[in-house]
Amino acid sequence: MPISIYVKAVLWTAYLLSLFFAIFWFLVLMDKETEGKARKLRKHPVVSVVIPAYNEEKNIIATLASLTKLEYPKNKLEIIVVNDGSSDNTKNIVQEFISQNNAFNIRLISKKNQGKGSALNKGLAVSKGEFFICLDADSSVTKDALEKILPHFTDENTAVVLPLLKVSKPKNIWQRMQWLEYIVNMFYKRLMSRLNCVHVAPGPFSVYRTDVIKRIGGFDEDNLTEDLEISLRLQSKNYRIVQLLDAEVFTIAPKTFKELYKQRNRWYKGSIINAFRYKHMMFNKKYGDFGIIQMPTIIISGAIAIILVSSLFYYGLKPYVKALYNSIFINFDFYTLIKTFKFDFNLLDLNYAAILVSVIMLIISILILRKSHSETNERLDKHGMLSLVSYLFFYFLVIGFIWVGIMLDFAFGKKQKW
Amino acid sequence: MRHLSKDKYIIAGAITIGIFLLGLFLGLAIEGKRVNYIESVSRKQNLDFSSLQLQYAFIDQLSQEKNCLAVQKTFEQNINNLESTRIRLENFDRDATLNKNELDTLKNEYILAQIRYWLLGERTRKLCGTDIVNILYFFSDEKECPDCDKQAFVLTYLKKKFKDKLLIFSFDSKFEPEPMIPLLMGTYNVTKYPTIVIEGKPRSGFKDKDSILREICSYYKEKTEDCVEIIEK
Repeated sequence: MPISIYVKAVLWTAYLLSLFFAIFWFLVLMDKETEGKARKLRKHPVVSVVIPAYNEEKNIIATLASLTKLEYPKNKLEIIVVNDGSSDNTKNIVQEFISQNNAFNIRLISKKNQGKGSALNKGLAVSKGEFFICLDADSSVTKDALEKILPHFTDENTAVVLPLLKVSKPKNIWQRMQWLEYIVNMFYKRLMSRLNCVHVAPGPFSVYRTDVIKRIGGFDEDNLTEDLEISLRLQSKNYRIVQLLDAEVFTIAPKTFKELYKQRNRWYKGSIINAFRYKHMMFNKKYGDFGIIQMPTIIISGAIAIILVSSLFYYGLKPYVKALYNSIFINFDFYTLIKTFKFDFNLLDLNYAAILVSVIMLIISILILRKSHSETNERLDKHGMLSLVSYLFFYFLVIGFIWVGIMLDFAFGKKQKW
Repeated sequence: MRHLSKDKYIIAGAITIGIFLLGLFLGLAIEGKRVNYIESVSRKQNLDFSSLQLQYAFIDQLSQEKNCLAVQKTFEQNINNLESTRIRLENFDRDATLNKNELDTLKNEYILAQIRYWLLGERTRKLCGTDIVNILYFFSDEKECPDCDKQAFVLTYLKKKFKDKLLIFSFDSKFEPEPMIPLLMGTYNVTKYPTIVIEGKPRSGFKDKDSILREICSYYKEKTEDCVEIIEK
């Protein structure tokens, strides 16, 4: 079936752009000078941890417990749980935890349900710390995380420092694929951080300078992804966002496709909407590498995912669907076809362009996987070969599928709720 | 002023373009190889045809009808070779960029070769009294003939069923450089696609397995199992 010249051009553009990005970030990796250095933590500043909680009765105790185990002076740690109008037992459970752990400075604020952004702002308004930490209730921290993060606030311009985020105890294949995705993503964000190109400070244990976020007006209360919005806002004001690979934080990942779809639909949709909101930074040299490469990437990566997955489905499956359809007209007499099948193969029949592209992509993916694991101190085979293979050959289809869904939502003007 | 990694953009761009060009040259080299391959196969097949023609002339001249069977085998083999190369050539031609002209010339040769085999088949039928049926198949591109895909599928299936007893010759009606195509189309009143011509009788529009089967079976002297079945129905 002939592929039209326009489709070919689009496919090649998508492929060459991905190749360009891969090579660009490889050059960043090779360039040691871009690496930032930490300084020693001389005194312990006051730190406020805000946990926005909406119906989190199942997870919140583990989250709070991990905070009480932090290796940090108790009198310098302020924990604020903002109960965002939960209809479950969150409030009582937290109150009980507070009474059992009165050595810690834990406070519970209850408000009516207005969303995560508003809950964070409520916490921000009452927090007394020099540093402000957002911690999602489905996440937990390792005990040395804070001690490792704070030394990286090397100058006034560094507004956010991000820990190494991993998937907590992955149990099924969906969570295991996400485990790998997070590892790769963290490595990628570490590279971005070298060029100050990080565009999102995720919910689990992102550490902010309190005065900076107060100055820029706190979190956006009406946003699909307020964590991405505040990062873009910080970037637009030329603050620095640093990604670390050594302070570990664990988060619970969606365990079914449906949950994953819902989460990513919101994330990616939020990223597109917010990228358009800050489009003045796009291709703008004033914002350095962030404007030139990162802002376009937010948009382009979705487009590339849609192009690659839809073309793969269309051109990969169409011949088989057609053959199956055509089989109607021979009364599905596969027996004759199989019996008379002759293997007529010629090396020249192969589509070398497609093979070249796939081999290069596969090699790059494997190299990235290996490097990300060594950088995050994980074994490549920690969760088995099956998850590795599914991640390499299947997960991108899932993500592409989600992007196609988002495209359709935008096309048909579907309203999105948090 | 924020940092801009200009040098990295330039290097990454250069490497990307380098890989792209490498791929492009590789593609062109493979295209050249494909043309060479078809050319050499076609030269061999032309030789095979001359030899076959000579073999029949020999049988005819010296009344050596006892050799018909052996020569018939060669005939069938040649036609199968011809068909598989023709299909391969169609595929190469579809993907071709720079060598379109060379491949079109080769396509032209294959059209002529098919006509030559068809005519030779007609003549030998009289000579050796072989029990075969001829089908000429006129197809067009997807836009003009959405049904051609399934028609080709059905014909391929029937060829597999009847093997050397069924000869199918396919003609791309869109191929203009060869005057034989309009000549054939005029002869059989081909105006719609797909059109199949069974033993000189044109049938236009998609024909399913059973209707073709019924028609070709009426021509066979010796009825195969499939024919018996369809006639009983």
